[in-house]
Formats: sequence, structure tokens, C-alpha cells
Amino acid sequence: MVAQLLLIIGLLVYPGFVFSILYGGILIWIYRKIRARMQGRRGPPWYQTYADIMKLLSKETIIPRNAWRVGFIGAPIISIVSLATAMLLIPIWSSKPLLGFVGDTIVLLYLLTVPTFAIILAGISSNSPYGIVGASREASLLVWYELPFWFSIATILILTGTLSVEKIVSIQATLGPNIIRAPLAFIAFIIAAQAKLAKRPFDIPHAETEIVAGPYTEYSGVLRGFFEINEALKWLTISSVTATFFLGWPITGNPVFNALLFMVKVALFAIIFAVIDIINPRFRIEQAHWPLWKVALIIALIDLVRILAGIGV
Amino acid sequence: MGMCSRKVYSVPVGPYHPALEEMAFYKVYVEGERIVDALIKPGFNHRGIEKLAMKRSYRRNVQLFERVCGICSAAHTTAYCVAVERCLKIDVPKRAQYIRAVQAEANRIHSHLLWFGVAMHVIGFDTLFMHSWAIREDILDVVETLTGNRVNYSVNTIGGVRRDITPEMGKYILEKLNKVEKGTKYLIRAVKEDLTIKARTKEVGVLTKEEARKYCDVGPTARASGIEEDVRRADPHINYEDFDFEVCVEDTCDVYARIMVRLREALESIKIVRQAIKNLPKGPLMAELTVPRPNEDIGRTEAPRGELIYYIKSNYTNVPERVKLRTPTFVNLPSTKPMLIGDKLADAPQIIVSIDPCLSCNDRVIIIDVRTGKEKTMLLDEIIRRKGKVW
Repeated sequence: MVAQLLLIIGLLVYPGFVFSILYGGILIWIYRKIRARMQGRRGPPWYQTYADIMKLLSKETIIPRNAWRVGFIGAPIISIVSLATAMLLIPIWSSKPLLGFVGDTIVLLYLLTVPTFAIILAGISSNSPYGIVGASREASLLVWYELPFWFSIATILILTGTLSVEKIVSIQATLGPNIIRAPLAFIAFIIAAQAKLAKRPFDIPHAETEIVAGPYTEYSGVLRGFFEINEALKWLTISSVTATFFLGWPITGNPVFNALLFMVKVALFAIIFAVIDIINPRFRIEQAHWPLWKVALIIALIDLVRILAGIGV
Repeated sequence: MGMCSRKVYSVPVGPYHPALEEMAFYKVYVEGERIVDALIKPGFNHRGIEKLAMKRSYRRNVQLFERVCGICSAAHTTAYCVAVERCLKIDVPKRAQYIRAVQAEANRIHSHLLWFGVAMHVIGFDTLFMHSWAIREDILDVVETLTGNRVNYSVNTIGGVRRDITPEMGKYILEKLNKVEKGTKYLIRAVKEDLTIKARTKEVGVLTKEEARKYCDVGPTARASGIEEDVRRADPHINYEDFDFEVCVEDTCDVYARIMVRLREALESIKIVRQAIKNLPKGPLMAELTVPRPNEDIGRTEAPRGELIYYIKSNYTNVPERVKLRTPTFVNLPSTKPMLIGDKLADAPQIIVSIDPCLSCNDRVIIIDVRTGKEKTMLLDEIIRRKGKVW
């Protein structure tokens, strides 16, 4: 009974919805602030993301007449729920996640893939030309980034010899972080994660000067607010996954210190994604495949082969 | 997204579109992501300025024509004043012409930097967009020092200029120009070195030299296609023969060439402003005005977007009998069609922006044309599809 109660609290408060939205909002603020400072602007105050979300949630929601209502309303909710659930599988205050079991890495990675499908669903069910073009671009991008993403994770799984997130972190705590043990896989992961976040140079699915807002074009009010929350959760989960798989070190005995350290690590990776976003223009859709397949995939495979052959492990 | 035959879809770009600041409607026909045809439909912004001009005096029209375009406002008043002065046979003092040149070139720098920012925004490079607009702030300070205004300068008038350049102002302007020059050189380096910008702009929106000639392109669009033409050279209307400058020509004919032509031109303009301030001749600012007699003449100038022509017909009154203007965008707009055909849908906004369309100037002309000769529809029907590309 107590375990179930803890799980519900975990899903709703910490590290689930409330914490995720609050800290994801801070990550978005960090991104926007760095962006503004590097562009010679001042940038928003720290509460800007929450203000945006609150405002959108209080606005009228308009659903287009020819949209498929179930998909249109369902898409943002599916996305948010899967991302918040993913947070339960990530260890924060120690090496043990709240909801750990054998093989939870696979579940975690699947949960990270769900938002992409939700966005494709959103684009198609909104039935606007911009939404459909955005959804098709998202789908082609998915094919290109999932492969280097999974291969770099596979490298880590082979390196640590386990499928459990807890083991991966505890092995890093003793043997040193994977960022040093598998640097090429880390670079491949960062490139693929940038595409997963849909930030420049891979913000092709919602390129504002080409297809307005892509899949989000028809969204307004509460549902648009949900996508804003989704964006915050995406920043948090993808940065957290990077921190878990590649920088799961050091883990001390103090849970509060561990949690704070984890937040710092997450912010660090969020800053890396933000800087890549700021210094790059957008690729055309068919140009996006060379950094993902010809660079990220190949270097991920090199590391995979290296570790399978046992060189420098 | 309407269905046509042969699995060709039509995607609307505009009239209200995030990439276009002004209203124009492009119906882009695509096969997959590849553009096979385009329909250009301007005409959302008719303001009846020519009719208004035929009811106001020569002097008051200066303020009116300044408002044809908010970006190249100096070019419009210069062309109008040159046309009126030639028509009424007014001999403008050299000092006034130099001040006009300073103003026109500062205007060109500001326009090109503004356009560069927009072009970068369209390919998603917002950081360079912000930087180029920050550099543009300096040149706007120069303009403000020169004229007291940032958008509509109100310095040109019939027979001369209304404000002088004092030595202190000259010093301040030169200081600011150093900053602008440094910034512009940095932008050129950024464009030359960044691989992603090259990937997005090289061999995109190609307009060959022959096609540019056929469509009678003007200004930077023509110069980026290898045609060396510049009104400042061909018809040095405001003493441009005194200044040493280069006509920037690129021969790659793509969007990249258009970026490079404009940035290099900004550097040449800085050179002209420096020379003009250094060799500013002494003398009056205004000429003696003459009494209007029946006559007609044209005034041309190299606006930031290309050749701008004003035609004036005078009679015995102080109101022009006919004013006609032809803006560079009117000439360049049809040539976006051969640029678009064969390229990707993702490049459409960037190609449309690459001619620096100023539709608020353009649209008045279109409406006049429909009324008098229906040239618009003929022009589009005559357009031959681009050869040598597989689609």
C-alpha cells in the first residue's frame, strides 16, 4: 500500500509532473536566456515559461472543424504522460530509480520515442497543410535520428553489460563516467538528441519561416499549453537521460546532495543543446541526414565495434 | 492543399506568411518537395499614391514619395527630386548633391543589413539575424545624426537639401562607420566560413545570366547573376562620378551570390560615404527654383533593390501633370518564378526573400498596369519554364 502511494506521489509530484514541469521550465528559461545573451538581447525573466503556460491554459481552445478530434486532443496528453512516466525510470537521489526493474532501459527509450509519434499524430489529425508537411518531416527525421540514438545507447549497454538503469549508474559510479569510456558514442548521442529535441539545426518539423509552426499550427489555448508543458518535459527528460547514461558519476551517500548534483548535470547538458541550437542555422530536410547518418551513426558504430572488440575498455 | 493532375499539389505561400513581411501570394505547385511551377500574385497593398501625387505640389510630393517605401525612403526622394530638377531645369549645388549621396549610401547600408538579417532568419539562423540588426543600429544612428529621423528622412527637397553636415557630425559619422565596417566584415567572414549557410544557399534559386537579361532584372539581383549594371555608374545623377567605388558582381547566380553582392556593396557604400564627407565641397544647400513650364523628364537612381525610375510631366502649375514610378521589385518579382522551379519547397521562402521584395512599393504599380495595359497577366503567361533541369 505504502509502495503504491509512493509511486502515485512519484508520478504526480516528484520526480513526476510537478517537479518535471517546474524544472523543465527552468531549463527552457536557461535556453532562452543563453540564446538572448548570445544574440545581444536581454532575455526573459525566470518565470517566463510558467507565465506562458498559465496564459495558454486560461485561453479559449479552438478545434478546427475538419480535424480528427480524438487524435487532436489525445496527442499532447499522450506525449506528456509518457514523458512524465519516463522521469520515474531515471535515478535522481541515488543510483536507484523510483520504478526500477530489469530491462527498464528499453522501456525508458520507448517512452522517449512516444512524443515523436504524438507530434506526428497531432500534425496529421489537425488536417492543415502545414501540419501534414510538418508531420511528414518529423517522420523522416525520426527514421534518421532513432538509429544513431539507439546505437549509442547500445554501446553503453554492451560496455556496462546490463539492461538496468540502476546498474548502469552504479557501474559508472565505480568505474568512471561513460562520457570518458565511450566518448564517440556520447557525441553521436548528443547529435541524435538534438534532433529528438527538434532544435536547430534539426528544427525542420516546425520551421517557422517555411511551414508556420508545423504540427502545432492549428493548436490553441489549453492544448497549445499542453504542448508547451511537453516542450519543458522534453528538455528535462532528454537532458536527464544524457546525464544518466553518460555522466552517472559521482554518486554519494547523501540523497539531497545527489539530487542537487543531478540537477546541475541536467542543466549542463541542456546548455550544450542550447549552444548547438544557437550557433546553427536550419538544415533542409534532405540535408539533415548527413550529420545523423554519415556522422553520428558512423561514430556510434565505431565505438560499438571498439567496445565489442575490447579495445581501450 | 488542393489536388491537381499528375500528383502535383499546390501549397499557398502568403499573402500572410511568416517569411514574408509584406503581402504577396505565391501559389507553389509541388511534386513531393520539388517545385514544378509557381504563380505569383501581388496586389494586396494598393494605396493610390500616383493619383495623390497629381493633386499635390512638387514640394509636398517629396514627403509623399518618401512614404512609398519605409526602407529605401532616401532613394525614392532622390529619384523624385532628380526627375523634378531635370524637368524644371534646376541646377543643384554640389554640396547638396554630396549630402544626398551620403544619405543615399547610408540608406543602402541599412537596407542591405536589414535584408541580410531577414535572409538569415528565413534559413533559421536567428543569431546572425540579431547580430546584423545590432550592426544596423549603428548605421541608423548615423542616419539619425544626418537627418534627425530613422525612417523617413525628409532631407531631400526640390533644388537641394534641408540639412547640412557640420564637421562634428562628420567626425561622429566616420567613427560610427568604422564600427559598421568591422561588423560587416565579420558578417562576410561568417557567411564564407559557415558550412550550413553554404549548404542552404549555394545552388539554390539559380537565375542564369541569360534569364536575368530576359527578365530585365535590376540591382543586386542582376549583379548576382553576373550582369554588371549600376545606375550610379551609368547615370551618375548625384555626382557619383566623383567617388571611387566598385560595382560588385558575382557569377554563381544563386542565393549565396545575392548575399555576397549585398554585403560587399555595403562595404563599397561605406567607402563612398567616407569620400563624400572628406571632400565635402563648400557652397549653398539650395538652388534658385524656376517657374514650371510644360516639359517631361525622368530621374533614375540606384535604390538598394535596383534601378528606380520616376517620370514627371509638368505644366504651368505647381502640381505635376503626371507622375509615374517604376520600382525595382516590380522588375525583379517575375524572375522569382524561374528561381523557384526545380528547387525544394523548403527553399521557397528563402528564394522569394532573396530578391529583397519590397511589395509596398511594387503593388501600386501593378494596379496601374492592370488599368492601362493589362501587362501583368501577359507577362506571367509569357514566362517559359526553366530548361535543363529534371523535375
